[in-house]
Amino acid sequence: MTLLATIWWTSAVLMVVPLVMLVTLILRRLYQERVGRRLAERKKALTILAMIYLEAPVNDKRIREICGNFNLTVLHKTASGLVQGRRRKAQLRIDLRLLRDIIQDLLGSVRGETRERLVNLLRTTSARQICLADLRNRRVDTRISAIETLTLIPDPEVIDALRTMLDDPEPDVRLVAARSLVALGPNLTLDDLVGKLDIGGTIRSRMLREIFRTFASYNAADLMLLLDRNPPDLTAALAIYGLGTAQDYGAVSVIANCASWPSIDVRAEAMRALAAIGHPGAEPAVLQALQDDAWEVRTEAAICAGSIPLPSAVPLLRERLEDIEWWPRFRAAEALRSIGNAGRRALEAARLGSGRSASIADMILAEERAAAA
Amino acid sequence: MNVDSLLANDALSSYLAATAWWASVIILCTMFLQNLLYMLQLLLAFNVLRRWRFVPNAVRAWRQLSDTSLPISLLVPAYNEEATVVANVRSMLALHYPRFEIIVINDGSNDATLQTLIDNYDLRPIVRVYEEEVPHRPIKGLYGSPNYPNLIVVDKENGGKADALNAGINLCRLPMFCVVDADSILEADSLLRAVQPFSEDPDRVIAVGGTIRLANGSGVHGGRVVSVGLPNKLLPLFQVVEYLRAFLMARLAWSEINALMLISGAFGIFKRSAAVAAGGYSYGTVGEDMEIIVKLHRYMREKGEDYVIRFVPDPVCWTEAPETLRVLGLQRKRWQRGALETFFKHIRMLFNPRYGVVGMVGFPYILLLDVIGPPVELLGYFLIPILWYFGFLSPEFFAAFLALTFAWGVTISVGTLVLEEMELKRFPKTRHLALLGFIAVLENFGYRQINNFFRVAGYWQYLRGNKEWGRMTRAGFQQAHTKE
Repeated sequence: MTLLATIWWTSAVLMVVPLVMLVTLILRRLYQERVGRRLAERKKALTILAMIYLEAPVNDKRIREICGNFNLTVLHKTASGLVQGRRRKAQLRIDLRLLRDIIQDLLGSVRGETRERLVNLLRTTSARQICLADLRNRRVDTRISAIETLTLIPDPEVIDALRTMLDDPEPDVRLVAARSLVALGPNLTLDDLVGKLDIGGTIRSRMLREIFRTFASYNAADLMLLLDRNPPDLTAALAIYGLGTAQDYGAVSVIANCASWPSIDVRAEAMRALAAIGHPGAEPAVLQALQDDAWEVRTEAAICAGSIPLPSAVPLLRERLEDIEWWPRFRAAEALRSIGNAGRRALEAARLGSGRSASIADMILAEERAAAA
Repeated sequence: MNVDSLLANDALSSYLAATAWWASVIILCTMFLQNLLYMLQLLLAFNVLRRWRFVPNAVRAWRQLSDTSLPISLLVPAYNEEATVVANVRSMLALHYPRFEIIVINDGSNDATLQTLIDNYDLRPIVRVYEEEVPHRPIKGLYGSPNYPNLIVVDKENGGKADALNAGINLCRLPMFCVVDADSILEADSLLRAVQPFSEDPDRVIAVGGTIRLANGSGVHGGRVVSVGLPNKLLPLFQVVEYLRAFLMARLAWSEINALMLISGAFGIFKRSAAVAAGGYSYGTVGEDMEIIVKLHRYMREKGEDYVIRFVPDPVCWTEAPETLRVLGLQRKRWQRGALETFFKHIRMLFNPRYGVVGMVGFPYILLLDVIGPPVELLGYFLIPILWYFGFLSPEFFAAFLALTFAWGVTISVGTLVLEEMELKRFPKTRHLALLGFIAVLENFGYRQINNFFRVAGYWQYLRGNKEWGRMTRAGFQQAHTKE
């Protein structure tokens, strides 16, 4: 084939391909619109069904009526085991998936008894079986959605199934499974958590903080032991964060020891955790951190000194008003403002002086006066 | 001496033939490389969208993403926005996000932007401690609202958008800031979705861009887009396809290889510490949105930091496309000047391995698309017919290459539509899809050439040192308003 012919043929192919793609897209969309309309109708009916189920006592007669009106007999008969035939079972699966999505969305806005009723509705349908099957679905979204639904209706089989999801090749799935398992109680050991999640490797999500926070609420001791084993920096920071949110006074000394960790992030996290616990036992670590080389740590230390509060930190906070970096300067001024009379006197004295400390003290006091007015 | 006698001269004839040959080679190579890169982008974007986990609705977005979201400051620079600023701030106040503050920066408006805000939000003077970490023109006053504690209005001397944003960066105290145009509309859960990369990789992600869509033809009510439609005018319709191609294909693809060179100025989220470390926005830049991204890349690469700049396909910020050629021309000339300004300011990054994929892919892409592309394309439009007329170019080859150029362009545009339809489905009706398909073909015959003409005009303005923004008249989502 000559060069000219090749160019013409390439052009022709490039013209035909988009045309075919476009026609296919339009046909696909037309089909999806038809299916979508049917699904929307069923979703509407199922939403009404779910809403009626929220009433107490549940009006069985009305549910039967609605099932009849909206051709939801398959769903209604599930409980009685009357479903027969492949087509009906397929329809049932679609309905149950829709119902599951509706309930999940409703659960975001209801609490207490109403929430319990919705969860019961999930239990009484076959959603559990569908979700267990969905854990093996090839789509990541479906697997994650199944994990989230199963978390609402836990039992030993569900917990085991969730545990197997910690070996899922997709990091996001492992992460959501770990969050669910931790939320459902002490179902995970720390080794499982650290070993299966590849923290700092494929998983760096902030969801890890939520997991460690929940984990620490019933197993702070293990996190303290973990810190003694010199874990990687991100794991250490997460453990410290968890201990901070657990507000366990017993953890103060362990966290305080982390104030001399080589990583800046870990040292800063230690200060944040000590601020969250608010125990004066943190004093030596905070005073040390106020003179840290890293401005991020000095900033967090200033916040910590103000939130505990630590009057003994006033001289160092006063020094920090001259810090070359803005954030330690600003946070030190805020801390002095919140420490009490000693801090306020230091601020007033700084305001009458000169340089950076006078400027920041003046601004912070002006802000306070304006807010009070 | 007429043309025939000129051509009869052997030396001159062979010289012209050689020139014609080289001009054709340059034009064809540029075209070929551009289209090849577009195809590569299409494939990369498809790969990203295939893996992307879309959150189906606002309720689920809140449930899944709100716990891990970091606090954020919305920076809203406003210049002569009295007609729309109140409604737009109101829609921003209603965003679904766990913790955020809005900082509106009145950049020395000549109209009643500030007074309108003061009257409508019962603003009163406040004092807020801040450090001038990045430079900007003096601030004249700060205002807060007793009814909306998370709203701050800054009144400053006029210094342009980049300058206004720097003032906002200095005043925000939260770890991230989001830049939003005062005349844009954010979807209620767009922030939640857009910060997802920060939640997934908080240490490395330093900036995230979101998708911008055109609201022309869509129903807007109470500062919200309530029904998605298509414009009923041809010019904005062309821009719908163009925006799809730019956001869904180009940005998504380059984001995948960490070579994203532009986050739209209408909607972008930044880690504050990174933006400050890079020196904030550069004063007086026309293309401040591209410049800050290139600056961030440069700073991080020079410091040897491990970082990521991401683009997320689903968060949507709605804006209005120009509906007349005059306004479109102003906009495109400004964009062209902005691209050239950034390119030449950071030219040392070009083909410099020190800057990794940014220097070897991202920057050469700007060279090809914004620096070489417009003049070469224009040259092609004039030179090729002339050469063909004088017999220096085979008519068969001329026609074949013309067909190839258009066919390739159509394939790429339709390919983007396929991406949109397979993963996002933001256009609710089948006829929308059919119409966009038709427009994707039609844009190659006229619109593309007009656009190129504007870009060359922008080139000329850049060479002459023009730094004006131009007066952009827009119809407005609900009522007419003007924007400088």
